[in-house]
Amino acid sequence: MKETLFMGKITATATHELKNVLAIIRESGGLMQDFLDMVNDGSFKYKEKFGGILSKVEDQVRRGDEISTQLNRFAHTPDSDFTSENVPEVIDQVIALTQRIARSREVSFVNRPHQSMLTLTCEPVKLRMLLFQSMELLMKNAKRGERIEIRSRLNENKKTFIEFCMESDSGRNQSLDDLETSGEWKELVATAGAINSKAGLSSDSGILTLELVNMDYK
Amino acid sequence: MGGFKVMLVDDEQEFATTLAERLRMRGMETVTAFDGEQALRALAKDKPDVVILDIMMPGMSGLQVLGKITEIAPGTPVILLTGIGSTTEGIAGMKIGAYDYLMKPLQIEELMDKITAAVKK
Repeated sequence: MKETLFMGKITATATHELKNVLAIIRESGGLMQDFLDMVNDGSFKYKEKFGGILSKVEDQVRRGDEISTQLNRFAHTPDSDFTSENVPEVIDQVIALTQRIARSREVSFVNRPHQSMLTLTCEPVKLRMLLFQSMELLMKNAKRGERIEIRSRLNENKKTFIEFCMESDSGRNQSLDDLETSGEWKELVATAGAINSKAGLSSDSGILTLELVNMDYK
Repeated sequence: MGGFKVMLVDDEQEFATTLAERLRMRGMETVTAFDGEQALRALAKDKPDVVILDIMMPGMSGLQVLGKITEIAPGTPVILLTGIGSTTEGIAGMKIGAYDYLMKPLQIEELMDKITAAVKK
């Protein structure tokens, strides 16, 4: 745990520096745009070209800002052994931080919570591990272009369900049945078990389900 | 909009000077300081209408500087800047007298709106 805290602290500090870097890039780009906006007599023939470049710079600042914000929150995850989490926000975080892996496998994830606020008291690091292991397992199993919806909901027994739904049967490289014998699946089940939760696969519907126990109601 | 004297306090000098230039282009008068001590000295001399203050600075932290500003110039509104991806420190600053807070990287339009609202409060 000390090691995890150490990693988190260093990462959080670095994300703070990244925010400053992004702030300087945004202000510098913004200042160039301010000067560009002052030229209205057609005397600068590259005005439109420069405007386009500055727009791309701003897009990347926004992208970097989102990633560094999520990385900062992620880095603070080990600060508490148990905490109340808003599950849809945690899913957003894991999607944002793993988008490069998803993109390299040409798979996309869509967060579709049943309600925007879905509080779960849990071990925050293990929750994120469980989500990532589920996503990684499905990414390996998905065909190019597959879109995976992540649906979260609370049932009447205060249990949180997260369902990973593959878009279509044709999107899968192999039957979900085959996954149940894989080492990755066993690791995922072990992570779920460590937080008193369960993981299940439904081959018929192409759904991986996590049943998470709210520690308040254990 | 504009015509106010704005003090920018940030140890990131490139950020403070570039932002100051953008504010001047929008009609503001600006003063820059790169640490807390420098800011407090300039506060008495320059009497800004509003202070934009980074929270995380070496030496005196932004929150310590804020505490001093509320003693020395209690009517001067302070807008805090935080680079941290959460609202915790900004809210802590508002509890000890900051007018508001903004996250880095900023949107200039949002900063202009906050400055105007802070001065006219």
